Amino acid sequence: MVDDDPDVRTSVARGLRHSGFDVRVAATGKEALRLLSNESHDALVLDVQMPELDGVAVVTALRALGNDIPICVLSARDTVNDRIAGLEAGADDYLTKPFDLGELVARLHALLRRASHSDQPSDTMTVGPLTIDTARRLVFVDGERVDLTKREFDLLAVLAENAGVVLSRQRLLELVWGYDFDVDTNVADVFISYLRRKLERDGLPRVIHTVRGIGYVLRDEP
Amino acid sequence: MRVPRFLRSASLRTRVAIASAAAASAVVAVFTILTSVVLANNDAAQLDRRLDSIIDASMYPDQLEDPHRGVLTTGRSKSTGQVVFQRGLQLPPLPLGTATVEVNGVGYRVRTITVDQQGGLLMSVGIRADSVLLNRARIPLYTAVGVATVLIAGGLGWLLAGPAIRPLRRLTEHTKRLGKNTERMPEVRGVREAEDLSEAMTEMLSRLAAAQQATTNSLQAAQDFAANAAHELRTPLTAMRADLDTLRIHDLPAEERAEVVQDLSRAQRRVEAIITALGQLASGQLAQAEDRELIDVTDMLDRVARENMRAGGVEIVVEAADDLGAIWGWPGGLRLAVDNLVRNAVTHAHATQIVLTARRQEHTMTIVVDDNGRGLPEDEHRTVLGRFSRGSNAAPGGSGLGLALVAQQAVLHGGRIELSNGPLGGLRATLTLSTSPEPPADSD
Repeated sequence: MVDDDPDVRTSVARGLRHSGFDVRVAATGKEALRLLSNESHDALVLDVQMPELDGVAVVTALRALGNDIPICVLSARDTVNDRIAGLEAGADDYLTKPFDLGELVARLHALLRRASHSDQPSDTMTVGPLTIDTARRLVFVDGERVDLTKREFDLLAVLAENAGVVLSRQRLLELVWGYDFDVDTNVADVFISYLRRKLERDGLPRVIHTVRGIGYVLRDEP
Repeated sequence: MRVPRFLRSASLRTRVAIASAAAASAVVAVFTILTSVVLANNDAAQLDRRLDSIIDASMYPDQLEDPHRGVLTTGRSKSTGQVVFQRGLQLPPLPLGTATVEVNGVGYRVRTITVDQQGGLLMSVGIRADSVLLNRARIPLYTAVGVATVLIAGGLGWLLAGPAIRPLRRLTEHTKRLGKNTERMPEVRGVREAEDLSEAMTEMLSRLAAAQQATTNSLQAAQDFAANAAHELRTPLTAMRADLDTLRIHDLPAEERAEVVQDLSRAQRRVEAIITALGQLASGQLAQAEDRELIDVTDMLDRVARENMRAGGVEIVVEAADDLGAIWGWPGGLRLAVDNLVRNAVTHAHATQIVLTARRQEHTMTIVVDDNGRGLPEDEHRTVLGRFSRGSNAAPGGSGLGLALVAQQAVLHGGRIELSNGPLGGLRATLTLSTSPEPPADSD
């Protein structure tokens, strides 16, 4: 649990402890990185806005080091737009301060469950210009490799496995994040927008289509 | 930039005067030439008429009966008035001198003289006097010439006035273009009135732009402030929410429960402190010059010391002369500033000893707050003065606005706040205030 404010740190860490987690706290990004490199941890709750090394920098550093630890970022701004600092850098989910402790606990449990078993079949899937190599976790568009974060890859893989099938947001949250409970978040839409931005670069045609009022579908033709 | 009056561009009045003078001169010149030609021709015609008369008189006396030509001569006896001789038509009796008479419907100019012949004669000699110039038949011609002159003068005036008022027209065009692609007024030269107008408009535009900029800036500041305030309030609210959820979800033992409740009330106090400080900042921003009062600084420092010592644990000494005098300011605001400095020393630096010193210089009053607390890293001496910034070793629960309030009050009182390492081992805060009775110029 990383936050520069002592009150938030104390209260959230205490709440998590009472919910059955073994919690280490850090006041700065540097301290967090030091803790993570010294001992093994299962999940990270990270404040985005911190002096010096902020949350986004910590996520970027961890992912660059190949650390796949599930990360939930805490954002103090109620951003309605689709760019939530930290998610693009590779964080898995976000919560806006102030948040419900039960919500954080439930999501952390789900993220931990998801992290422990990767049940994707090891093969190569092709949809239109897309080639998804699930064994090596690589994605190619027209033969060119596209860099995706872990969560972006998982989302794309789920869409590809169900190519042509419309998946609701709720179903995506369940399949990709393991949220099999009622959850009030637009994190799926945010990641869809990230995926589209990366896959549609250089004016490539849209492959992830929105089915209004229902959800999303991956298919070649419009 | 003011240039001497005689070097400056001509006024519009001068230009119009010059233009009309030029038009008039042109018309007069043309008219003079025309008139000279006509008069010269007329002179020649008159001379020809005289030659005709002389030739008629000397060469063809027989043609004298033709009333349209020739010279009429009538001689009368001076004593009787009887016609003695007559050539051509008879002229009426006339006194000596020159006269114009009509004979048979034709005008003659007649001179009557005395001739010493045949016992004294009055001899009248007349020649035709129908004028070449003064002729009814020529009236339409003259009228036409007059009208043409007026038209020419008008046309010339029109043409010459164009350049005279060109700068005004340029000014109009610039003004029309204004705001479409430019906010700047290009300089217009050539006519003093237009230059003055252009300068006035440029000044007005820059005043408007400055006012607009000020509005934009304060709007931006208000937005930043609101965003910061929202963020600052969200932080303790996050802690409170987590604590409330912990209490709600888990059945905690009494001891842990008490700890959570204690944290909850501290976070609640923090929210309160932030809201109070925000209110104080806003009222500082709205401070009115007419609310200023004379403040007895020594008295104020005594009160701050007394009230902060009441809680115990700290000794506060005031070192200020009794005759320090008063300064003009906002008593509540200044009191708040000194109070915040003292409270910071107690709360964040854990000081046990604080010395308040006040000294009066020529134009300033200096209030120094020294403490023996744990001080502040030197690189934070400036940054902690900003809004919502806290020292790295600050105690939890602060609003992050205390020193920002001090800085605001310092500026309001025409001075500044500076932090440095103090002689007692802790921090020294130096609050400088203006002693001028005039309110300081708005520097925010």
